[in-house]
Amino acid sequence: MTTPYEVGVFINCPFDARYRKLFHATVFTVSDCGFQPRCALEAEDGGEERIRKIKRIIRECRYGIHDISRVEVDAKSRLPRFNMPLELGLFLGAQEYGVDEQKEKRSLVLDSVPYRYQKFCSDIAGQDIRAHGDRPVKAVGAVRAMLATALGGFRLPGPARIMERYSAFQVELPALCRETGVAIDELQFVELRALIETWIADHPVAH
Amino acid sequence: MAKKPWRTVQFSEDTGRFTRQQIADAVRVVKERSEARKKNGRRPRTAGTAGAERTDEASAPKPGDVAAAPARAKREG
Repeated sequence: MTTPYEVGVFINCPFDARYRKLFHATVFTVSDCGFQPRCALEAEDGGEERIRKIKRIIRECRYGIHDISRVEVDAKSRLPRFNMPLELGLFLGAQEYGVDEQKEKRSLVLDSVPYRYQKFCSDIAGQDIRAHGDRPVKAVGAVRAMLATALGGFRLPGPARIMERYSAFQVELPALCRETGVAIDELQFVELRALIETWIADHPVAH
Repeated sequence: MAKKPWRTVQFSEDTGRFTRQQIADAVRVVKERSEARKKNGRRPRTAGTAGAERTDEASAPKPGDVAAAPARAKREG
């Protein structure tokens, strides 16, 4: 029997509009592979201190997907953003210093360009690091490959099949929002996740 | 030789402002409409059609396009 920890996948990535296509593709792929996507956007109004919430979610997830591609210097502040590398460090620290099931943590690190991390975060060499080129199809393939490696006794849909299903979901998403009576730009992460889970259950992979 | 089983979807407890039933109903209704359109061979109306209500497909992103629904909170990095 699987526990929530064994199926939990912590998604550590940007949440802005520019990254949205990759974020949605990642959430969909995690769900379509039978895992549970989690991220810092959960329980948005819960009042829990943000870093405390992130540490709790990391503790509750065996798997982590960390996108460190957003390292550009901000036009206004002229400084880079460090949230994703920080959370990657927390995840690797939990794996290193945690006990029991925390030791079983597995990570996938994503960047936009191959080997670029060597110039700004070379200490992560040796992790499972893949480039997505800002393309959902590449992100789907990388996430699916990581989760497939983690599974021994189950079959997963292939990356092309997942991408096809994700595209079909995206086509129906505006109508799903209208049916549930929520503006599409106000859809919360947990609502998106619930819609994806239900859509997947209602559109089983053809055997 | 028997094939390995498929992974089944994991349902999360938190469904936000919706009930699980509301979500299930929405998915079912949209799926039925979508299948009916395919069956009838109808092409979706375009968003530019004067006076026409936008159809699901017309207002939807094309496969592979930028997803349309952001989560509430945003983070740039």
